[in-house]
Parts: sequence; structure tokens; C-alpha cells
Amino acid sequence: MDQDDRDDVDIERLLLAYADARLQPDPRSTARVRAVVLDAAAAPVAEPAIVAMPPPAQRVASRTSLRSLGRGRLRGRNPAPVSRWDDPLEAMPEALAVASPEALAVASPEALAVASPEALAVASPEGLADALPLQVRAEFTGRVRRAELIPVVDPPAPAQTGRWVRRGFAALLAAGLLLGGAVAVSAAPPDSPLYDTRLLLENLTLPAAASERAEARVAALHERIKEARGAANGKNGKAVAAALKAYRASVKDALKEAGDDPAVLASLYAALGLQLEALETISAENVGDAGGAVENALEDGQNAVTEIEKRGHGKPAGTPGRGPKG
Amino acid sequence: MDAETIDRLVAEAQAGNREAFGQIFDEYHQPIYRFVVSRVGRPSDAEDLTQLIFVKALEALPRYTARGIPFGGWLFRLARNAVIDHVRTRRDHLELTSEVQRPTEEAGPEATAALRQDLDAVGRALGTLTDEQREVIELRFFGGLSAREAAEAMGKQEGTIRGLQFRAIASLRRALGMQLSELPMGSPAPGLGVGSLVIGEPAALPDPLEP
Repeated sequence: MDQDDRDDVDIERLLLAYADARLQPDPRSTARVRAVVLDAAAAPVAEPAIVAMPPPAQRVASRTSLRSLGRGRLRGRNPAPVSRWDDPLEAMPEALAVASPEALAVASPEALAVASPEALAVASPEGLADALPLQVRAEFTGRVRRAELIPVVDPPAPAQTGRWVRRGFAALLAAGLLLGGAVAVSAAPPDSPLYDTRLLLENLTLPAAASERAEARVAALHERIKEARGAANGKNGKAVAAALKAYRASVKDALKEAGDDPAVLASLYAALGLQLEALETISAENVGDAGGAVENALEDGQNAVTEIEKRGHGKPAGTPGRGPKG
Repeated sequence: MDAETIDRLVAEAQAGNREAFGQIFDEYHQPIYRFVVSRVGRPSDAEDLTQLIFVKALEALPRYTARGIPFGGWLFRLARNAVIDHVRTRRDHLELTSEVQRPTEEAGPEATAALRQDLDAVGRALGTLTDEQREVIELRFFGGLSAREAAEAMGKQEGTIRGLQFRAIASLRRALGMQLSELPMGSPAPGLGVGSLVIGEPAALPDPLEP
């Protein structure tokens, strides 16, 4: 066990001590909550849903009562069940219009039945799939489509378009080289049409010697992260995605070229650690449509770290916490 | 309690067995509460939310089918959604550092003060994490979830969870300013969760890419 591992163990002990000292439930409130929950468990709604479904009105009333039970004290009322519609998730389309996808994912079919198309449009497909019977889901999807809230996605362009793109790209590359536009290309930002050209040139001009090439690879990886961070600061999701796409490709190339060279792997390992932290910062920026790109970059970076560790370099990943099982 | 027992209790609870649900409550109440109170800060809110979460779980239980999804992950997903809704409607929640402080038993005044300082430092360090890093720490260490369950709760890949945890621990180590030579290794002293662990001055958080 090296020093970092011992540090990790100490941090885990600190976290567990913190939970024991600061996050412990009060036994009296635990007993009270338990009694309330088990009272609810004794209610008819806890019966299996396999039996014939009661009429919708009755089901909604039951659910309403049950949820009221849970929300009572939050609203400063007695937690006893009440027999009126007081749950916005059940009764108010307006509330659902601003409800989170997470909230919709656990909302009942009755609640979704009164949801606005706008709310349904932002609900996650997984949530709807879990929450709704097939027939009802189809109806809701239809409502959303009729409201034209789901953008119509054009079918992918035929292969011919790809050829034209490639031809255009080649022409652009040739023109750039012929006209001495290398300077402009070398400064192309990630959302520029010249960015791919720039990356290509960078790859072509990498040093041949292994150690120098590895250093250049690491520098290029840093550069991609800096570009992504700059784009994230400017809330430019397209540029973030482009820079991180290039980053992922570079990570793969760097790992492949590193082979089993300990010095190169150690250098790459250290660089990846810093870059993953920087990616976390970028992730926290929440740049709209770049979320998936950041996530993929984090995933690939972490996989590369794991791969280097598998090759016997770097340190093992942090030890997991305790769990009820496994 | 092992996964098989949990699955059996869930099946019995789905069949209407109140006591089975009681055992599920006993198993998960503390982890859920810890996760919730860590998120919302105020113990009274956390108690109410925990109650709400179990009532919601009871309501949704007939729709739960294992299909490879760990029950803990499913339950914590409900908890996470409830917390998100709560935080959205109530912005004045307390920060981590102002959570309830319960007296530490069996420790003398000096040791208690030292422990309090350490724990305050942990609270502040947790505040330096990104939302996702902090959530992983809360699910794994406060909620006691496995990586797979945490992945289910957060709707992410298991590898992503491990990566987030790896980086969160590294950030905590740096934020706590844990100087390697200052860390005496040994078993915790009685009454203290962490013994005489020395936490240095929190290190400044530099730009990771700058030398």
C-alpha cells in the first residue's frame, strides 16, 4: 500500500466518521417516521397491482391520500391522510409543466394524464417508459408530437453528401496549403471548419522519436482540454464537443503509442489525472448540448487511466466505500 | 443484509406484507436519511423528506421489478428525485457546514474539539467538490451504496461512478491539505471516529493544467 492509498483510507475513515457524527438520524424521529410509513403500508394501496385495476378516479384518490401523508409535515400540516386533491403532481398541469424529468419519471400515469405537452416533451423516455402502460404512452407521445414539441429530425444525408463533404474538405485542404494558409489553420478554434485540418496537420508534424512524440502527444492533450475549457467558459457547446472529440481520439493514440514504456506511461498517467480534473470543472459548467461529449471524454480518460494501471503503472484506483451488499 | 434477502423482502412487501416493508425501512432508513440530510442540510427537512421517500417507495413498489436493477439503487433514485424537487422549491437550505452537530460520546473536551475541527474541515472540503463528485461521495459513503447501486441512482455508468469517486477523493485529499508526513497511521482512539488524524491547512486549488 503506497502513501496515496493510505491517504485514501484515511479520507474514507474521515468521511465515515463525519457521517456518524453529523448525519445521524434522531432515534425518536426514526420511530415516528417508521410508524407513519408502516401505517401507510397497511393501507389498501399497498396491495399488489396485479389485481384488476380500480376505476381511475378511485386510484387517483388513493394515491393522493398516500402522497399527502408524505408531504404533510413539509407543508406544516398534520401528516395524517387527507381526502382532497392537494398534490400538485397529481392535479396541476401547470406544476407538471415545470416539473423535472426526474419528477416525471416517478409520477403516476394519472399525473401524466394531466401533464402539459411541454412537460412530457422534456420527460426522459426511460421515465415515461417505466411510468406508463404502452397504450397510454402512445397517446402521450402523440400529444407531444401534435404540439410539435419534438423536433423533426431530418434523415441522415445519403452517402453522396459525404462524398461532397470529403471533396470539399480536400479542396479546402489543398487551397489552404497552396495559399500558405497554414498560419490561419494552426490557430483555428474548435468550432472552425479548419479545425479538423489543424488537427490533421498537428498529427502529421508530430516528432518521430518516441520520447519527443510522447511529449508532444501530452502537450496536444493539454491543448485540447484548454480549448474545451475556453469554449465552456464561452458557453459554446459545439466547440466543447469538437475539442473533446479530438481529445478522445488523441488519448487513444497516445495510449497506443505508449506501449509498455514506463516513462511514457508515467507521464501520460500524470497528465490524464490533471486533465480529468479539468474535465470535471468543464462538466460543472453545464454547457447545454456538450454534456454528452464531456461525459464521454471523462469516460475515455478514466478508461485510459485504468488501462495504464493494468499495464502495471500508476496507482490503483480509489478503494470503494462500504455498501449494504457487494 | 444480502441482496437475496432484500429481494425476498421486496417480493413479500409487494404481496402486501407490512412487516417485510418494515424490515426494508429498517435496513435503508439510516442510509437514506444520511444522504438526504447531507443534501438538504436541515435535519427537520431531512426527516420529512425521508418519510416522503419511503411513502413514495411504498406507492411505487408494485411497479418495481428487479430486472437486474439493484433495489438500493432504485430506492436512492427516488430519494434523489425527491431531494431535487425539494431543493428546487426551497432555495434557502443550509450548507453542509451548518448541519446539526451531535455531541461525541466518551471523548474529553480537547479530543472533542479536535474532532469537531476535523469534521468541520471535512464539511468544508465536501463543499469544494463538484455536484456530481459530492453526490457520489454521499451515495457511496453516507448512503453505503455499491458503485453499481450508485450508478443506478444517478443514471450513469458504473465506470463513471468509480472515476468520479477517484477524483473526488483526490480533491478531498488536496482540499484537506493532508500532508503525507503529517498523517499518523493507526487505529482510531476510543470515542473518536478518526483518531488523531492531522489535517493541514487546506491547499489552494490551482488550475489543474497550470504548472
